[in-house]
Amino acid sequence: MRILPPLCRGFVSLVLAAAAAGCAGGPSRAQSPREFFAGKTIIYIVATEAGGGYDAYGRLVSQYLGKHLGAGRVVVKNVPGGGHIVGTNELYHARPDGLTLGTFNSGLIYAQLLQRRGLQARLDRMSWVGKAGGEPRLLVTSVQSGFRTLADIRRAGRPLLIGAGGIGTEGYIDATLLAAAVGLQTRVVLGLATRDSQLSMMRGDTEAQFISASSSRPLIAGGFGHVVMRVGSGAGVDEDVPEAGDLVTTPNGARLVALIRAVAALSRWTAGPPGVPAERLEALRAAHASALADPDFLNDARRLDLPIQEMGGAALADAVTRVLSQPDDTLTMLAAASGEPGTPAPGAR
Amino acid sequence: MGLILNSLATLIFDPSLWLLMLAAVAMGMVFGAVPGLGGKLGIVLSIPIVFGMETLPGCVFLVAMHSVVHTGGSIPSILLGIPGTGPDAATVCDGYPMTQRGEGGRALGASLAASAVGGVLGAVFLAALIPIVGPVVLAFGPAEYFFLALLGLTFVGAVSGNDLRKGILVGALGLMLAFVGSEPQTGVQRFTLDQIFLWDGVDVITAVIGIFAIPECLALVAGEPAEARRVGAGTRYGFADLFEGVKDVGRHWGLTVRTSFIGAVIGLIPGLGGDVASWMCYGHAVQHSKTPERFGKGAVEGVIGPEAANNSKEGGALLPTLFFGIPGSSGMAVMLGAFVVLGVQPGPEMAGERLDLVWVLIWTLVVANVLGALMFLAVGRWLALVVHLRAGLLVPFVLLLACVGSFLGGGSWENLLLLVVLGVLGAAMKRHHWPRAPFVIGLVLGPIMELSLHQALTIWGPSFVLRPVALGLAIATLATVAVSIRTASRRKGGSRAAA
Repeated sequence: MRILPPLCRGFVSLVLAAAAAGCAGGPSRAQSPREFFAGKTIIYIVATEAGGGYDAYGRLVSQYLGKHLGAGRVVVKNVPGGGHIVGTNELYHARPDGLTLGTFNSGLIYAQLLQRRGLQARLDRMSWVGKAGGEPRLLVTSVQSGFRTLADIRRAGRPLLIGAGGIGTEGYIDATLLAAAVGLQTRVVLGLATRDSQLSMMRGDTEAQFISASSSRPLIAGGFGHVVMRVGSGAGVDEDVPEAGDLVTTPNGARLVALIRAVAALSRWTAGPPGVPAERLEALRAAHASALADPDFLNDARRLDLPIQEMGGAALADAVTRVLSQPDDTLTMLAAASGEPGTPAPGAR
Repeated sequence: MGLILNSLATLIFDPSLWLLMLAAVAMGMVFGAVPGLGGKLGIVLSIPIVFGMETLPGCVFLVAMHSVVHTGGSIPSILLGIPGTGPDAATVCDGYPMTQRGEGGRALGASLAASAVGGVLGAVFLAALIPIVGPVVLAFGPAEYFFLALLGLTFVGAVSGNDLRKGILVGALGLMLAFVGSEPQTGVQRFTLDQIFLWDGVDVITAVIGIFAIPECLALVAGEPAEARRVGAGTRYGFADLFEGVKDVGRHWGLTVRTSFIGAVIGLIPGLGGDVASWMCYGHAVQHSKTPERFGKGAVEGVIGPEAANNSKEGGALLPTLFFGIPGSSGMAVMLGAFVVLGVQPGPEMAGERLDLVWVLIWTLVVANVLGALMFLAVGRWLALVVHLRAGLLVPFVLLLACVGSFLGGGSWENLLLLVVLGVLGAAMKRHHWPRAPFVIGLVLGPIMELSLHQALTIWGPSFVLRPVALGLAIATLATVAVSIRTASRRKGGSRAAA
């Protein structure tokens, strides 16, 4: 120390003292998770553009999550690109301190199963906080098509013209998986997001779409469509409509319907990067559960027409792991249905 | 008639609605004027503001804010060569050269008047079409989109200046860049160089800034004599300059009405968007000019056409949003969600039980556009002073805005690399006198053409060309090409005779 000038000696002493304080036990020992989050800023990544369902759920959930966590403020950061992949990668690589959370399309389950290029995130390793949505999915036909039942479609003896987003999107994969499961002939018109597809049906260009129950409401309420098949059940869905699970005749078909049902049930989730400390993750999960039970939250969700189907973080983590553990023959069928060239390796999941 | 007047009375005799509209118009102008923000983000950030409001004030706030975004968006387009929003990009072509020529005030005046007239005519269009909205919206499908985009592509000929071959080559380059991203039919990544930010294609705002704004900045830095700004007594803008621009709109009233109409029709058709509206109207302005050679060098019609169109399209876009729940533009998609928050359920029943609200919104479009123009008039003179800054002070500011616009427009930092590449390309094009507008026309129309062609072929096969509206558009396209060729050959003949 003698060789150092006095100012440097002071600085070195300060650094050593700080290091000693750090070694003696960091803030995590002294601070409870509640104290840790108090007054902090939480970054909530929404992996798509502002506007639309993911953004609406993300903003609503994050606002109440912050409130129940006692955080100072929550900043919603829209990170669009690559069909939710860019934002999900950013979330995956964020610092795992519990202050960066986010939401993205549950269709990325398919992306991971198919080993889609660009997806660096491994969903089974993420820190799952909870989910707010999950609805039955419906096959809706247009009034112009003249198809009121599945039997009508089969009788026509030609492919059903079905509108969907791009190849690899959840809507496209779900529609092709469903067709394969129940033995429907379909021809998919691509590049039609939910609303575009509905307009296309109203024009009589396409004949059907496979969408969530809430997204189908304008079409049904406007008298433009009929529900001919459902996957799952829930509020506002007619139980008399045939369930896809009852229509399949092969074990493979049953597995495909189960996969669609599982992915559809896991929507509007909130996650953090892998490695969030266990006690903070618990605090986040508790805050998420109490936020979703908050009467003000439920009231706002009703006004925004966002159906709520809550699941806790631990159960969600288990469900994600389960759905990512598909047998090889299901993966082969998934690869064929998704239009991906080649079959994913057995280690894909 | 009683309903129409009652709706107007509801709007104008309520001071709280005036205050809301003033706040909304100011906010909309700012969101338009800051490159990369735009009306969509404006609505998203307004949702918490309107969350607790009653239905009527909330809807008035949102519509007023969104309707003037492009009025504000023309300010950086004209003064700095950086488009505030995508649909204001076409204004750069002639608005910025006017500023360089010392006519920034006049360009701003033309822009504000064209925006106001376009916005009001868009509202009139919305009102007139209420009884027949269904058949009109449903008349346009992928077959019609394809031919509409093809018709737009023929405007490349009009904006190519003196050398059609160069224009076609540059337009083809824009089309090629439109192929970057996920192939719509197979999902295969094309020319994305393993970069995720390119999966969704080349961002139009980044392309316009790179092709137009960066070369101008470089020229300012290099101190090219042609770029020297004429600072002097003659270029200190007063209200007279702004009024001169306003009078230009009167002089070109036919163009203003036509482009307002085209803009509203394009707004009405979901899926085409504001970029298409303003570029098609820019092309229309050039094509119908007796002196097309002035375009790209500071022709006031090049400001009037796109600015009338990008405001009038908002009226058109409200139609399918309100009556079908189908948004006519991406901004309207967010608006749709905001309407639901306010307790409005868009759908066919709006034409019946909620017609009073529809009329209040139509009047809001009218009043907000006039308010926007007045606000613009009040501050435009001061804004125009920015062009008197020295290049050394101005260029860093413009470059910063360019980078912010590119980053926000594309949503990733890698867009800044793309900005540099396109900036170099734009500088080379400028240096060698190649036309730059055809590049953006190709880039904007390419994805629509490709996707609609795929969809039309999947649904109808090659017979899609025989659908009535599509066939009409195909004939119009052929007629436009024939007229362009005839005009070009006449011009060539004329210049030979002069020589």
